Amino acid sequence: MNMAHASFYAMGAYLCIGLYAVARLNFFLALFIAVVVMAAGGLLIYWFLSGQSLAKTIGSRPLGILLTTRALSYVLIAALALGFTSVSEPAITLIYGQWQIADTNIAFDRLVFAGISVVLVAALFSFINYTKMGKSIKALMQNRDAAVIMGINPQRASAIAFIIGTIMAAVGGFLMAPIELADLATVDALQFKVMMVVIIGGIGSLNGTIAAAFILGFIESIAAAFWGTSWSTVVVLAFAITFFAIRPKGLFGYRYRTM
Amino acid sequence: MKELPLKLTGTKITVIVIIAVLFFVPIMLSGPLQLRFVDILQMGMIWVIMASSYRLITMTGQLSLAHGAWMAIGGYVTAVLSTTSGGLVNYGWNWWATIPIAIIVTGICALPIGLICLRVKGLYFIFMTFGIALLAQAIITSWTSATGGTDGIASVPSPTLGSINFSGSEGSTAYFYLTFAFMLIALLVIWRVESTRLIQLTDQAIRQNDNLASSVGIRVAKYKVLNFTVSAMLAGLCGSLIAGYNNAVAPSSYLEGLLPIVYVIGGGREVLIGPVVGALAFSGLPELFGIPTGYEPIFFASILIIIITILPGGLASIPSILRRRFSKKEVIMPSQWV
Repeated sequence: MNMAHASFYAMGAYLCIGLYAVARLNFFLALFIAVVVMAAGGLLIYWFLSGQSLAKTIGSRPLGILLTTRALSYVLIAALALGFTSVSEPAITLIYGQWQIADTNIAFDRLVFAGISVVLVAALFSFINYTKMGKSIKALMQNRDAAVIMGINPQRASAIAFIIGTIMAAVGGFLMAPIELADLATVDALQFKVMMVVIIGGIGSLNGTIAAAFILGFIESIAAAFWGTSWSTVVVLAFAITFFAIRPKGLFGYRYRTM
Repeated sequence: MKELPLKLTGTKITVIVIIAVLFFVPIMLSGPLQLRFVDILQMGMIWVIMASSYRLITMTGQLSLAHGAWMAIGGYVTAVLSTTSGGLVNYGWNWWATIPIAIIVTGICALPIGLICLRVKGLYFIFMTFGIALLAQAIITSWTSATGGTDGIASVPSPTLGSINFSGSEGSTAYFYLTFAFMLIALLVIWRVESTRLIQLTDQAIRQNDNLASSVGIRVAKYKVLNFTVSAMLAGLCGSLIAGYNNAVAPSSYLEGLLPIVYVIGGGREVLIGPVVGALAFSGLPELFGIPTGYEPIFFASILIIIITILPGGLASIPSILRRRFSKKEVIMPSQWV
């Protein structure tokens, strides 16, 4: 349970600003560098988290990881804030133009971003379900001991899963940087939404995550349309909390894992 | 534990020293040194109350990230009720009268939330409380008619008692002693509750294995919710104190979810003195070392990581570790300290 996920997203966004807007590198080169950097960073963090000492304090590893990644998230956000104090707004636009459908304007860059997201999620889906490593990760999720007995290396699979997650978060942030204002204050709320999407979707189910993401996204947008953006956060948080209180298993969760 | 004779244990000495230092600092220092220390210790004492109340939740084995929300509720209740002019709604209550109201309102909010959140354990509980903290922040930011949104309320008057004005500004030490009094009362309350054998043992049982505790007949839910609510109410008191000190409330000042955890875990979870030491030490250190505001999260996070990896018992476990290292004979450690 990584509470630093949203801060990886923010890092991705700032990497975009730093590499593309400030250093003026080629966009795809910047993206490539960002992916490599985040992969390396993710690996380092994973090694740190899988150490033995975490188990002792809080009494259980997941809680220790949660706290440590929360602390890590604080550190990363503070570091980003310090390092990028002069950047207030990303003055980057990749793709100009809008498209008019019926009465509304849809900006091109948001369409492209949505398209890329679909491609990435599809890639993730096929990875999890059709490749050997992906299926190993899924097996580890379903029944750790049986998977280990079958010869799956748990450290390797977990590390790869963690790094993929990190990279995707960073890429998400990277691509969003030209579209929306990079704002560090919303990282906490984003982190919570991310975790809620996973938990409401059901841990261990990618389909559930996708479904939950859409549902929560719709609720937030509709609430924003009616009551404004600040109340929309309240609505979606309240909905998420209530849903979780009623059905902790989530939509498609395998089983309720007590940690 | 009434059977033991009244020994002068190390812990009792620490308590007396701390209280004496806190009491005498404003009197014995003067000038800019006094201003600085009074300021640091002032907030330090409020954090002591916060950390000690947070420890109540950890006594039942849960870690909550929602503590800041309770402080916010308490602070805003005090602020809304007591502003006399220039505020959004001017009820103009006496500050003293707002304190019990703040505590009760916080308790009323915490009770149903505790009931909901405590249905799940460990990881999921942490996360639900994280959501609660965010929800509180979102509500405060959105409900501008009552709370002033992100600007907060800036016209909270200082409390007065007869002719004494307990202002927190201009180096006046009046508020310092006000907070000191509240801190002593809060610690006394917690200590009395903790010394009760029933509460002590029940909490310990729940903390170690709540399924097992429930199977021997302990009403686990009741004690967890009780701890949660009492802890929240004390946090509400903290919020009111901060409101009176700063003469203002704003969303950012309360919702640092990690801070109570750092103070409690850093200071030591097991003993009452732990969060006191942790709060005073860790809130004072950044100021003393002149760590600029942007770097504070790094400082606190590093403390947390260091404590987790090297010193799981927190600062309060240092004496026992030293004792074990340097004592010549077998030392049998008491299972519960002060």
